[in-house]
Amino acid sequence: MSDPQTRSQAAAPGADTASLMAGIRDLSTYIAGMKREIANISPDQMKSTLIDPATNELDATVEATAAATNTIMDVAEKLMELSGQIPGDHGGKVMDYVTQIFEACTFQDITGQRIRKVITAMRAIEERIAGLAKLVEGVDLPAEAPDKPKLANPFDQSGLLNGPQMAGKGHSQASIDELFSSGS
Amino acid sequence: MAVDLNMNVLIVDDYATMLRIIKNLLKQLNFPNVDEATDGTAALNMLKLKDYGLIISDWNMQPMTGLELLKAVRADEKLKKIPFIMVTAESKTENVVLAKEAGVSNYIVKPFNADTLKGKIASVLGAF
Repeated sequence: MSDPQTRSQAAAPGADTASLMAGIRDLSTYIAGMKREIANISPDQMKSTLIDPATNELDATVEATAAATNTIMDVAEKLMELSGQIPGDHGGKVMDYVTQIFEACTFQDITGQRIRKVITAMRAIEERIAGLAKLVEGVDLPAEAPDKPKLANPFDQSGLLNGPQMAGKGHSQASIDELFSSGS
Repeated sequence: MAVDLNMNVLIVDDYATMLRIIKNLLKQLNFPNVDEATDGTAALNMLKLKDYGLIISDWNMQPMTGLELLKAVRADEKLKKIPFIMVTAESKTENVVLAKEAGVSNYIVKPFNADTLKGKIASVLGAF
């Protein structure tokens, strides 16, 4: 003898089929959307507009901190030499402060290693995305919704505010002074 | 026995800034004779040309890592007794165990301070 729930399911087979069909339709829409998203990633464009500029920014960060650290060390080394000429306890104190400067400068090595890890992770993400995009290559996909908001690109130089420029890009203070005084 | 502060010390790191920091800290600890190498291969060549009383090396370098340098030093009959301190950001247990198994004399984790450096040098050479 069947229980009441089994009897109810057996009595309404059409409702189950409709629900199943609706679920399959939802799933199909979801998969199509996912494929479209993957196809729209455009790995080459992502590499040239996001990954490469981001990597360059990180490289520039390492270079800038290295240059600043070397300047700090130049000064600290000069202070170290001078400390021997300072009479009394003061010379020793100056040397202690110089030691603290040297210790603090180790940050540059640590940040450099961390940034290199980030660059490696970004390259790995880039490869994975390219792999995903290849999976849906040639698949006929529905067009992207025209009103879909575009992702912000922090490296897009078309706006007014672009942050610090890479070495050799933008204006030096001298050329800005020149521009400024030219009256144009 | 007193530590000979005039001994030759070899420091190995692929970061020029780090070499400079360690060299200056050693200078403050009264070790004036400090040579530098930027990777394990260069260090090994230098070790064959001059007598060194202490090696202080980074781990993460190319093409020859600090661990490979350590193993090469310990495998060389003429070099194997030189105290070897690893100075590295690698701080996982397996790193320390590997270095220890390879015969490292002591292990300093970056970032470090002058007191730590002095303490570790004293632990391998004796108080100074």
